[in-house]
Amino acid sequence: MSGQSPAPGATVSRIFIDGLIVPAVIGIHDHEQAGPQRLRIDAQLCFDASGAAGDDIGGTVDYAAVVELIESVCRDNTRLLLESLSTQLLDALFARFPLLGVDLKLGKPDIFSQVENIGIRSLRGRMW
Amino acid sequence: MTRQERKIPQGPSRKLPGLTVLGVETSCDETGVAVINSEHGLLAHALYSQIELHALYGGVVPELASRDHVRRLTPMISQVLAQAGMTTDDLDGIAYTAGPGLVGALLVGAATARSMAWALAIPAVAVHHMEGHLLAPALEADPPQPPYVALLVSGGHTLLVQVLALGEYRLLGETLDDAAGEAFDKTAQLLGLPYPGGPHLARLAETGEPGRFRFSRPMTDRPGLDFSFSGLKTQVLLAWRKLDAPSPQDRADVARAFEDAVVDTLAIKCERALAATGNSRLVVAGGVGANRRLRQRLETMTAGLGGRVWFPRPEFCTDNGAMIALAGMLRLQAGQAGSLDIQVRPRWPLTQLQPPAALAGDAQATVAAQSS
Repeated sequence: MSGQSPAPGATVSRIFIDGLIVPAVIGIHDHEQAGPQRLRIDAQLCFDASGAAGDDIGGTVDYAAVVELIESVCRDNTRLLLESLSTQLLDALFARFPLLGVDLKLGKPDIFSQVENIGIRSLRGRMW
Repeated sequence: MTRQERKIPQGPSRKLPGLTVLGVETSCDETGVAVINSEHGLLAHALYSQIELHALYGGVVPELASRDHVRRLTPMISQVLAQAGMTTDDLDGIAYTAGPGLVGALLVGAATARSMAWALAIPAVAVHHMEGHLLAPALEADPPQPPYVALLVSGGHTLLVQVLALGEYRLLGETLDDAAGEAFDKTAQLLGLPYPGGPHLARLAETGEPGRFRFSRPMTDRPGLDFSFSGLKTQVLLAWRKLDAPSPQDRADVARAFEDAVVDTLAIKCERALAATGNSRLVVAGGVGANRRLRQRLETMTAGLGGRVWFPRPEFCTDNGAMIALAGMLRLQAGQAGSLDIQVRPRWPLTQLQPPAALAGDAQATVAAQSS
């Protein structure tokens, strides 16, 4: 049996963001609350890319808008812990974009001289 | 629900002679949908892979898989029908994967397909995923005629099966531990390749020097058609650890030796299975069936025996909706239809399948139930 075979193959795609540096006031120590420090953010964001087949930014997740959202949440941060900031970032990302899963790393590269970067990593998948 | 209330968008109607069957596959991390016709063959198919999502976690997360199937399945059915230039009214039946697989993922396809068939008053057929793979070569021109021997090699399965007729399968051998594809993925992980590593490993092996490392061909030194791949993985681990600061070339050489060992082992067992059954026709299906070196090796081996090997094209080697539509169509043609139950079987031995004739009474019961 033969038949035509139109191209299949829509997939989940992944946006990666490596080493986004954002200033933020965060930390439980007085010297951390005195002024902003650098946060290093690495993220991978999964979404259904079938909508991008038309080569239209409206059919996909705009990574410029993702970066802008991350920057604005960090800039306005009033939380003390990376853990709570991470939760807030994930909430904001999932609320704004049709994401299926996010792997988010938040680190403080300047906090220890002997460590290149230190922080937390959170994974979240979308349920509904 | 009346016909006017149906939510699935409708294109122009195109009723074809013969049987037109929609196939739905949701057993793991890929959503597959296809429409097939018994006279015209495959009319349209689409596949949606969630692999990048699960790569975040290093493996398939069942609950995320189910939920993404829910989101994708109905739009894909509309899309495939539109591609085929058809409406739901042109369908004569719906086939869905009822097992084996992830229970939540299976339920999405089964519930959607069974309910849609009920609403359209057409039969639904529960298809065994592996039967789909076994029959996949019939999606191509010039398919093999049974009886033939089939090697199913994927991340979840390694089986040698004798296909006697539709629904009559004899298990010749299977893996006692890891599936061949699983061994590929785990070995790739050990060599530091990204998930899912099998295809990465095969690509790396292209640049590897054959013969620098040598791993055993498990279970080929004794009679029988069973496989075992977990020991091979350990051999690779030991060889890899012995290397001081392994170079990219070392890694490629290890990958090549591993691939050679798996390919050799599979080829030796296939040759034995052909001899044991007196067949000269071999069919290879499942994700590992896309491996180039395995294809070459089995072509040479079967040609040497005066036989032939069939491979579905790579997109039909891996999970897809077309093979499910095909298996369902063949069973419907033979008079089978399932009951109104929505039932899936996460574990379902292939040898428990029956030829369609044995199920014909069930079909009559279904027709009676639907017309009442």
